[in-house]
Amino acid sequence: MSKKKQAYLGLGLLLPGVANSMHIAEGFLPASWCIAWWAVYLAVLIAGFSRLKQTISEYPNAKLLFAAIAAYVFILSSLKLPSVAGSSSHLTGIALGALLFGASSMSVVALIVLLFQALLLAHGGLTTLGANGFSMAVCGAFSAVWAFRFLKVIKAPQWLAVGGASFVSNLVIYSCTSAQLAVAFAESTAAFSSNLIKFLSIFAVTQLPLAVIEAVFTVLAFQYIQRTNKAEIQELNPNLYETKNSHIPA
Amino acid sequence: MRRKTVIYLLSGCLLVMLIQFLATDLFPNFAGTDDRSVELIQQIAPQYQPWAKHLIEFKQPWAEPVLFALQAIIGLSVVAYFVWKQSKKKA
Repeated sequence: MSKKKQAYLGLGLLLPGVANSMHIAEGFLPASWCIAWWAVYLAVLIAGFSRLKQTISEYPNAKLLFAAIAAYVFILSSLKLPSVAGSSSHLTGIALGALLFGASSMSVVALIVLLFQALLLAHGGLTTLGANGFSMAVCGAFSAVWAFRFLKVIKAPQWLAVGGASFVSNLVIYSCTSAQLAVAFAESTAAFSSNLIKFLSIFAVTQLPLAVIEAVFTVLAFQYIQRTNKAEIQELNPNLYETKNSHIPA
Repeated sequence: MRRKTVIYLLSGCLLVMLIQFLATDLFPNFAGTDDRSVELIQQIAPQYQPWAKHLIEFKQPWAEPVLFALQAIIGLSVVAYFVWKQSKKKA
């Protein structure tokens, strides 16, 4: 990446940010749903932690790369951008790590970010961390990997596959949050559909332009990592660049 | 770490803090999607009472942007270290 591109990427990351977040706020999810989402998220977290531990022990050189990926999520999730309809929201950065380290590994990163925000910034919450973690690190990460696989199968160029995966991941995260809220406050199927449309009108509409911005950042970051850490990437995931039967570990 | 890298890192951190403060004034009416979803929950289920509260509440309006800037700065520091290591590796 040229110095000019790096400067643009850096400046882009520093675009206007307002302190807020997209997560479900503390206490705004019924207790039964909090427990259910925590249970599901914990299962993925245990799998993700064990996978990450194995990866790091097999490829110790990838430690710094993983730290940088986690830092990328840390930066993106701290900066909130104004968007359409007078709302603002922030990027997530989950797709990049999911493509490089496998989707389940991102559950560990999401835990760190969400805990930091819940404990120190009063955003999201401990009770809703399971639901927020599920949408961010499970739905977001796995959808990124699946979107990437699909785009590689149809022989999309690398930049499009990475950008597309990031775009899909970002939208899926917010759609999942909408669905979580819609189902928690629905007394019937009809009420669920109506709630879903209402929540999507808040989350998805706001997120659409931001998903495009995140895709651009992810492509630039991926290209930089590809250039500087190709050996590590090929060790971690030798099939990442294959066009057919691309297998990215989940 | 080279002196130039430290200067870039510190400038980046200061810029993040400055932008966080300015953005609060530049876009005061841009409500966060989380706040809007809370409003919607109160419309859909007016009887619903939140059953948990944040462990900390901010009394000063500047505290929140500062802490979010801190989060960005922690991330930026790690990314800067990574980029520096890569440039060193290349050289």
